[in-house]
Amino acid sequence: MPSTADERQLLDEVRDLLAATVEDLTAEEIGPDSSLQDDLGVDSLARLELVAAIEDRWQIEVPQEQADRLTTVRQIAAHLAEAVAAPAGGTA
Amino acid sequence: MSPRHAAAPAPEERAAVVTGLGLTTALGGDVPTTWRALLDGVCGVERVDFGEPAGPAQVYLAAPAAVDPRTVLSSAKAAHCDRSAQFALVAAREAVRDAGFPDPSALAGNGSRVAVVVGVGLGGLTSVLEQNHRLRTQGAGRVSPRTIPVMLPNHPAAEVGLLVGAKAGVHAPVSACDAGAEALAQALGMIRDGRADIVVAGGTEAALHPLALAGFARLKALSRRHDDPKGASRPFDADRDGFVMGEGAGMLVVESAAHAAARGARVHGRLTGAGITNDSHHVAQPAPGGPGCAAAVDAALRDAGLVPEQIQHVNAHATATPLGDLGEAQALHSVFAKGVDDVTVSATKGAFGHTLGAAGAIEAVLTVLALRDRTAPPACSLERVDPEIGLKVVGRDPAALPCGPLAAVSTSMGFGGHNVALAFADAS
Repeated sequence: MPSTADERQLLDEVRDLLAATVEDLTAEEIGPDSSLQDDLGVDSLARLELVAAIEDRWQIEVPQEQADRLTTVRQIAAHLAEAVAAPAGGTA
Repeated sequence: MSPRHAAAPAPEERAAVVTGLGLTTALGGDVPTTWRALLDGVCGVERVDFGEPAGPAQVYLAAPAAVDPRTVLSSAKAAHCDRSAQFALVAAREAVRDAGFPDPSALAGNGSRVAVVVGVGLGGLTSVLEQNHRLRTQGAGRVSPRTIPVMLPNHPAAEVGLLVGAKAGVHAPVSACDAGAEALAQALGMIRDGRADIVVAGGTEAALHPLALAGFARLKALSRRHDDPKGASRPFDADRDGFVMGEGAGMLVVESAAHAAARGARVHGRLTGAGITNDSHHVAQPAPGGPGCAAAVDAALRDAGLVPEQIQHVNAHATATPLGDLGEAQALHSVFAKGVDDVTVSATKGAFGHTLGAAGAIEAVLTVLALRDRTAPPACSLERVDPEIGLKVVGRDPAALPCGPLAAVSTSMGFGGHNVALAFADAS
């Protein structure tokens, strides 16, 4: 799936946040399409922390039902690309 | 190694030995660094800047940890833990490694029954205040999902339990400045009762926050010697005027003698007895004359099968408050009577400050080291022992302990009237 430069940047940022949230997981180990739960061992508490970190970072609210549908880093980045008016790191 | 339905071991097999030690303190991030610095007379007290506007009431003295635990743990693990649990994990990892388990999860291998007892005084105070700030400034939706797990007093114990796979029980005594010592008393009970083969036990504290300092200051408990940080915490000194807060953790691997022998473990020393009493006198002041402390020491000696004449060394609680030190000294005079001059007393809070819930455990580690190395640690800030104290207090140089079998007592006292005394013996 092609992605824009902004989406790729968002994807990298989400990977970094995830690596800082889950023990013994490095950003390099996180594939864009890895399943958060099945491949990366993100349990329910870690998922809540990841959502909280995303909400802090981009000052948005991610509703629970929306968060539950996001199962990969790529899906999270795509959601952020829509939700964030000014993309992360953007200068415009 | 310990089948569930095996016959009860003989009493001597249920004796508790210490096979691992861990520390992180104002003097160092591990046992060797801390012990060397303590013997060298290093003082960990300094002025601490909390980044708040300066003012007469905001000059704080403290003994912050020499090594930031976040530099030792993985960033994700550190992010999940209150600083008190971070310290506990750092000290527990060292203790477990020292006991011969480079991989902490191997502790519970071979069917060994592993337990954890970690006490804390003020607990997750700084995390609570951080989250309260977020609540008030950013709203409920910005409060961390980890808020509840890290504010519970069993948080450090639970984290250490996860580290070592402690399925025989995880406990968290909450008894103010006695908590670390009470953890060791509980560990001794678990070994004797046959409930565990190995107990990782100790105490931790990380409450260097302006609120805690202001609270103790309002109780008139802190030293006001702001122009002399290195001389501020001076237990048993004639000019003592209160304590200095410290932070850190101490952990011991307490193991049944039979289990340690079966795996060929090196033994640092023996935990031979514990006594626990309460003053039931006042919420924040010790009973005059120290009867509760004396009763705890008596109980620990009886529990260890010792008489006072068999004790060569005491690591005193001695926080440097005028009343507390005097009461403890009176208690020691009452227990050791005419033999008190044969007991070498160390008061180590001059170097570390008062680490509250960690203090009893840190001092337990120091007591084991003193017996192992036959060296009573010095008091870096002591100038003149208060004549009313009248004990043989180690001054600015370490003191050699005598030849032959050695036994020692470590005392702890806490708000709420708690008293704990632990009896240790050398490894022989």
